[in-house]
Amino acid sequence: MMKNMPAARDVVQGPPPPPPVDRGWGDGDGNDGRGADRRASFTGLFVLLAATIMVFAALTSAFIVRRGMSDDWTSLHKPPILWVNTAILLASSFLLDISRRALKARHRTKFNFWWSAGTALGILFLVGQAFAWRQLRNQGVFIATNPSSSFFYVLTAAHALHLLGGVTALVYVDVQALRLRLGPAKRTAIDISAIYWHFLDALWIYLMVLMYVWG
Amino acid sequence: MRIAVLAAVLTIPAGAQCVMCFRTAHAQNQARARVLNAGILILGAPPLVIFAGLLALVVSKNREW
Repeated sequence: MMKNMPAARDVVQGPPPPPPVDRGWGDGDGNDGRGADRRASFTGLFVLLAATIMVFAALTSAFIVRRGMSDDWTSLHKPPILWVNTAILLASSFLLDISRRALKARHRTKFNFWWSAGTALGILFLVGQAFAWRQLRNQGVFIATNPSSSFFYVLTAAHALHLLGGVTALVYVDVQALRLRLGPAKRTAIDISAIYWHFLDALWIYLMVLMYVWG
Repeated sequence: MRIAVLAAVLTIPAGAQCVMCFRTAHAQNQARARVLNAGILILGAPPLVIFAGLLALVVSKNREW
């Protein structure tokens, strides 16, 4: 009789514990939803953003000093296609945001569609930048033509290189999502890529202001 | 009080430049020297802002301090 009775330590006291709280970190690794991998990924992202900010701060400083301390600075006539490229990049960021909202609502198909569209616009922006450089080249404006043109090429190329990394991340997410390797419960790569993309978007707006106001 | 002390400190003219920047600034007229100073400040602002953000994050996460 005594043998069949459960030991005191096996008796559950009170109601069962509540399920893990999903605080939006979403990798569900067994604790409260905050995964160490996800936190490490975000730390890496913030380090990358800090490094990128420093690169462009250094270029901005060089831009301001070179412009202010020389007599050979001639304002560059910027190709109008830059405005189209800006609109494309903003639209791309917007689509990625729509895509993330669709994922939060657990609409995978919509997520894949909008994410692919945003990625395509990102690639289109890079193509547009190549057109802008081509237009300048056809006008006879090269990197060594003037300090202003030098800075234009350096700033836009540095941004394009960062953007190329961003496009690679977007394509990676797109492929992984289509293979169902990413989704509502596993979205670290999605969030990191989107945040990086929005950052590059803001960086481009900053560069446009810098180049059009002082360039 | 703290803000007043900080504001007082910030009004002190400091010659905290490297020797190259100092000599270059002194060899220029006033306007160009100001441009050089602006360039130095632009270069120095992001690390300070990033560090301040990090500090704010640490303080906000650790309320036992």
